[in-house]
This record gives sequence, C-alpha cells and structure tokens, in this order.
Amino acid sequence: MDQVALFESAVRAAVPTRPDPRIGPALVPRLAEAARLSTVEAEAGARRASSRRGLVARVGIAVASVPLVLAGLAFAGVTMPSPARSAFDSVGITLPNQPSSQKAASTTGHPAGRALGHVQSASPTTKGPGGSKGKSQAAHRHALAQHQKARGKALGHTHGKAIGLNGATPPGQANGHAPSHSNAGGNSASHATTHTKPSHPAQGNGRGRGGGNANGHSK
Amino acid sequence: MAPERFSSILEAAREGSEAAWQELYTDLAPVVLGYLRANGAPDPEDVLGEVFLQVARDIAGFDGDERGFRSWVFTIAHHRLIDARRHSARRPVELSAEPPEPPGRADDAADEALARIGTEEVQRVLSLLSDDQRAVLLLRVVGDLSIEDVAKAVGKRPGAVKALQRRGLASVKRELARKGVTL
Repeated sequence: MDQVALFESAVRAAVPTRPDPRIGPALVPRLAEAARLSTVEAEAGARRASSRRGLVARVGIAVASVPLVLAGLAFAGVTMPSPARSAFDSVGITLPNQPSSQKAASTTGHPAGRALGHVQSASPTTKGPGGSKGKSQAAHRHALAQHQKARGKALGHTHGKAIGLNGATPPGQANGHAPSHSNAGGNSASHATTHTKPSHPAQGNGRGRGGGNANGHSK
Repeated sequence: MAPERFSSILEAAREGSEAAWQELYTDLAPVVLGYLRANGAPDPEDVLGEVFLQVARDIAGFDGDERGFRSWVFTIAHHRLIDARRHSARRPVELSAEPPEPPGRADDAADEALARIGTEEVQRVLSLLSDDQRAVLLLRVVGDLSIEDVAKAVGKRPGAVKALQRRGLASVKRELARKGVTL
C-alpha cells in the first residue's frame, strides 16, 4: 500500500459518516412529501405543455386547411371572392372554374376575377370595371378616328407644302403655266426691258420658257 | 444494488414513498455527510438536510441509473456546500471526536499505518489543500465518484479534475513523507 492509498484509507476512517440518528426520522417524511408535490407539479406542467402543443397543432391544422378548403370549393365550381383569388394568384396558383379567368389573363392582364366577372354583366356604358373597359374601347375607337383624321391632315398639308416647295422654281419660270403665271411673266417682261443684267437667268440665256414668254411679252 | 431494484426504489421515491426515501437516505446520507464534514461545511447536518430536500424537489426531473443518481446527489451537495460557505466564514476542517470506523478492506499493515495517521493528521493534511483539491480528493475517496462524475459535480473539465487530483495527492505525499508516515 503506497502513501496515497494509505491516506485514502485514513480519510475514509477519519471522516465520520454517521448522521445524527434524530435527523432521519424527521427528514424522511418531508422528503417523501416534497417528492410527491414535485412529481404532481411536474405532471401538471407536462399536461399543460402537452395541451399547449395540442392547441398549437389544432390552430396550425385549421390555418393550413383554409387554402385546401378554398381550393376544394374552387374545384367544385364555387366562385371565390377576389381576395382569395388574388392570394392564390400571388403564389402562382390559378384557381380552376373561376369565371373569365382566362379572358382576363389573356387580354387585359388584370387580375382574373375582377375583369372577367364584370365583363359579362356590364355594358360598355356602365360604371365600374366592366364599364371602364367599354369606355376604353370607345376611347380607343375615338383615338383611332382622331389618328386617322390627323394623319389625313398631315398628308394634305405635307402634299401642299410639297407642291409649293418641291418645284423649287418660281411659278413664273416653271413649266410655262402661262395663265396662272401670266402676271408673273408680265411683270418679268415689264422688268425685262429694264433689267439688262446678263446674270439674270430669265434674261441671260433666254432658253427657258419663262424667259421666252417674257421676251415675247416685252414686245 | 441491482439496477431493477434501484429503478423501482427511484420510482417509488418519486411517488412519495417514505420507505423508498428511507432507503435512499440510509444509502447516501453517510457519504454525503462525510463529504460535507471533511470539507469543513458549517453545520453539516443542516446542509445535509438541504441537500436531500433539494434532491426530493428535483427527483421528478432526474433520469438515470444508480451511479448517475449518486453523482447527481454529490453535485447538489457540492453546490450546497459552496452556498453554505458563502453564508458563513470559512472554518478549519473539524472532524468529529467520534471514533473512526475501521475500514473493511484494510489489512493488518494498513491498520498499522492508519494507526500512525490519526484523525488529526488527516485533518491537518486536508487543511493544507486548496478548496478545489480537497473537493476533488474527497469526491473521489469519500463519494467514490469517477473523474467524469467529479468533473460534473464541481463544474470543471475532466482534465482539470485530473490535474487537481494529481497536485492534491502530491501535496498529501509530501506531507506524509515529511512526517515520516511511510510503510
């Protein structure tokens, strides 16, 4: 036996381990009572915890079943209110058997429920979403008519300008339209005798019709 | 104690059986009291009562075998010891004048050696140790706990407990050698 084992034996021998004999009989009933109370409380706590868990589970199941119920009703042909449909649309699910869902989706791009539900029942002149669509079509037609009208004006205006401008020559010097430009020719003839500058195109070369007419009128 | 028997006693104790508590008290109270006394707990029997009341209050949440239960009880005892020390000034280890019980495993040579290591010598050597060293050595010797159980009881890692035990035993060896207590 080495010193450490010897010391351990000495400690075991030296440390008194006999409790006061009066402690046990007084303490044991208290221990039993405390344990009983503690066990009852623990069981009650466990029941409360399990009931809380059950309540949470029931609420969760109820919340989770709402979309399923809505989807089932939609499959059965019930028209869902627009908030429900928009909620499904927001997650990318299109409820079946909902009126005018395809039309709305293909034409207007509006939420299916709003547009389609009212298109069938509302005339173009009525107020509301459907009426607004009728108004918009009438407005579209009016806009097209205005556009056509404006386009015609623009063409005429453009042509008029084109006639006037595309000639690029004064009326009296162009194409020999004598009646309409006779005054111009006359004027030019009256000025022809006085204008002797060779640089003037009408008088210089005498090759144009206007120039010829001018000379003839000058006689 | 057989595991099945301990389980039945534990279940009965949870349900408030006085017989079961009497058995648990008889089994554990002496070693817990020895641990408290050797650590210089002020009024160790009061602390022993607090320890067992705490055990009774928390036994509904305990789950384990007999070894785990023993370790758990010593953990509570260690914490109660610290609380008791905080509430009173530290006193030197006071061992009772009660005559020591002869160790059952000792042979004649050990008895002879133990006769040379008296109660006062044990008290003196223990008082030379630090609180942690003394707690670790007493939990190992008196509580008969493993390193892991001691680590859980004192809230340290097993490596730290081993180091405390090694340093504590070195101090004990040194003191005993200095006093010429050798075999």
